[in-house]
Amino acid sequence: MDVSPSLYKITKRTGSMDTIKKRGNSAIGRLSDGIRRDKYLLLLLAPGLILTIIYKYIPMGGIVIAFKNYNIFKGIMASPWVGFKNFTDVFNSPDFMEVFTNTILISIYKMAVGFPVPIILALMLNELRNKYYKNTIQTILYLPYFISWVVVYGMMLSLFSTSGGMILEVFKLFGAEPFNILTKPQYFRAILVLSDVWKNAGWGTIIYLAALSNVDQELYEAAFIDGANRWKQLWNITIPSITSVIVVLLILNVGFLLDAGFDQIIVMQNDLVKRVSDIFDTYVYRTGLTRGQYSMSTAIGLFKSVVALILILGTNKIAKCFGEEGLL
Amino acid sequence: MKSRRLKTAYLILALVFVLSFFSGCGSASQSPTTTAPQTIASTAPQTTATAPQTTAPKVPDPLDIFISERWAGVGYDNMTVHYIEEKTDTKWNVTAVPPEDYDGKLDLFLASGERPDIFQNGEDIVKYIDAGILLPLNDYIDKMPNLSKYMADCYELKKDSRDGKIYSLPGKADTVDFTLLYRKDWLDKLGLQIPTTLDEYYNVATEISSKDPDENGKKDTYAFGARGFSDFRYFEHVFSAYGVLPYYNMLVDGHIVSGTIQPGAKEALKFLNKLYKAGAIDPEFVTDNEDRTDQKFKKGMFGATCNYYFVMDTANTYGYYKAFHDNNPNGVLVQGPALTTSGYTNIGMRSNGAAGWINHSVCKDAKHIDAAFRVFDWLATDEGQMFTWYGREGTDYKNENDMVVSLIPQDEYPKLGITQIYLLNDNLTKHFSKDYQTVYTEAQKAKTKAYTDGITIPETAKYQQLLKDYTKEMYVKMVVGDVPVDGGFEDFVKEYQKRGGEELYNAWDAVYQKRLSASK
Repeated sequence: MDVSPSLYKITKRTGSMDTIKKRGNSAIGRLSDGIRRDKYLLLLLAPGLILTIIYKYIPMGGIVIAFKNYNIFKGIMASPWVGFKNFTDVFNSPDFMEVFTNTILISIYKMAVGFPVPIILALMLNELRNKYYKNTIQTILYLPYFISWVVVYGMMLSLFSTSGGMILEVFKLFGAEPFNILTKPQYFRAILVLSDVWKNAGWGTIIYLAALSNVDQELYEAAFIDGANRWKQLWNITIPSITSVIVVLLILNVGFLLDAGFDQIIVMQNDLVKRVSDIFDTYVYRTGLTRGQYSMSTAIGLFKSVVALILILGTNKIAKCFGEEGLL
Repeated sequence: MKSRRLKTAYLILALVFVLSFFSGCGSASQSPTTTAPQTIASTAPQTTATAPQTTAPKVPDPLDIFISERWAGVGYDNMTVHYIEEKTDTKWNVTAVPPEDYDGKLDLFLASGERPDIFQNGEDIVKYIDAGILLPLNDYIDKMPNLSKYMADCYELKKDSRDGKIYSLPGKADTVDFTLLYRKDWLDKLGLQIPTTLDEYYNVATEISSKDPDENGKKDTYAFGARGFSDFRYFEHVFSAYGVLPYYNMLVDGHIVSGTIQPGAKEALKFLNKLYKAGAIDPEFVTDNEDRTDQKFKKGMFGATCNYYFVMDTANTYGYYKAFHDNNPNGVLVQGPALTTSGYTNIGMRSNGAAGWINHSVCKDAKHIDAAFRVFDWLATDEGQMFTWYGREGTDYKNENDMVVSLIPQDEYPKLGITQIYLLNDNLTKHFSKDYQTVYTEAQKAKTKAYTDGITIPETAKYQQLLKDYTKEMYVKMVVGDVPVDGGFEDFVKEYQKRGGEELYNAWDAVYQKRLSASK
């Protein structure tokens, strides 16, 4: 199996087994050899590991409240057990289908548009010769990532305002009657997707540019000598080099399918577009958390996590079938 | 050796990372707790071998208070709190939470086992009553004369319908907040009279929004704007003309029903839809929030709008008057009469109710109950109310011509904590200017009756917020025209009843009837 050069660099060990005195061939022996060789790396990893265990693994015990009718004054143990009732209540509620459809559709739209864009941008940036020009464009591209959605929405309100916003000029250009785009259900999902791409695409290009910079320049020179033009080089060298990175990021993104962007949607939602933009997280926030219905919120959260796990495992399996390394 | 130094460097770096994660630990963010008041420190006893010891200083009782922030980021370590501490021999430990996070944070606070002496709550009090953590207050109120007097006009209303016990003390405001206002200068410029009927109002509204009365060439004048339907009061001049108010419990044929689904509401929505299509309502009302509507009002964009009556107060209560007149030096605001329309009687404007717009309860297991009541009793006196509203006589305000005149600018209030404490709150109007007193009295004349004032039932927690959200959404759609009122309204009513409206109002009516027969 051909291991691409970029992947090789990422997984190369930093120390060799020869620099330590081996302790033997048993499993414990080999384990302790590995720890001794990598002890500083493990120490660096320690804080993040401890944090993950404390804040992600230990609280998993709380999942049990999804199967109880949790009363905060009684505590977890004394709250009554209700089995799957929370789940059936949620699935049978009149809003469930709508929320489920919204979540899936918005996620798919965002992936369809938002996944290729950083790749294309990275490929384009990679072709630039002038280093300063390239860095300036890169910085401008990823700056929106750091602006919070609250601020972005404020900017959008001013921009799209029918009483003095810049959008009025656009309407004048088309000779159309101005209307408030942010309240139209037929345009709202498009606005969600496009603003999300604007904000996050620049950040994604960094990862792909890093992968692209690892490609061996000699391959390009060899191809040039063989008479390949830029397009052929792109197709035969550049893209195969970053395929592994693309696959890894695709698997990760599929795991976020049911998330669909809470921060963005809770800020941008209004009454007129609620029907087309209510996702699991906003629904849970409004009807669950703000009314103290912790059991129902946990049930939906558990449902989302199980689905995400199935999707990640499935996508990973498919990637392996195609010959890629996969994530797990 | 180089590699040894490198190894040590890595080790130190790793250690720094580990320790930096612990820097986030510490007590949860709270408003700064009050420091010990100066007056107590001076009573340290003399310590000589032979001189007799003076009595040990009396340590003031600590008091744990959990409330929502009055002003964002402003703590409770100030003149007002220290004065009250001195007067009641207490030391306050205030935890203040931003209002939008209040319910969630309160639940977490109580769930972790904390039992504050005083905590603020609202319509969800049933949750805490059922959990059994609230102290019944009847006996305490009866024993304290000042508190008794304060509670006199709402004692019966505050009794829980199930066991007759009083579980919270109200911040009273048996008043109307909103009144109908017009830009008189615009009306004069356009040659219009102040409207008295809905048809006249329609005419005025459309003229204001189409004839550019502020003559700046931009289409930026409207009859009124709003904050979606999160605050129904901006539309109530229209609803009340049809004899209903949305999200209001009214009496029809002797029974409590929801104003939201009455036939009058349908007519009101039709009228609002007409107004919206004619361009008289600011189309951004769907996305605007409190800040934006306030800005727009102060900028002078609205000409026939409901708003707080105090925007007319020359004493610049809450800062509206000055801001409006700075931007519009020729602007003149006048009050308008309740609008009428044939076939309906105007029902008046929504009032807050004597049973309180804000409530404070005491936990049964709290540690300093007596101290809490000392504070409540002092606040219930005239002296207590005047102090929390206006500050120190002579320094912060003076009495002049039967009116309270503030001696310090309003922006100094947060630093001193004046008007920050709402633990008990009577509606004082002494600071209103004379001609504005008339505005206030006029506004109060249009008061509706709060039929279910003080009734607490478990169905409220289950359905009220859901129904309100659903109403907000459908009303906006009908006003804007996304859903046609004819047919759409009937579907809305059916769905409303199905989602809990029927259950909720049957419960409310049952308690109301019980109260009615008990008082006969």
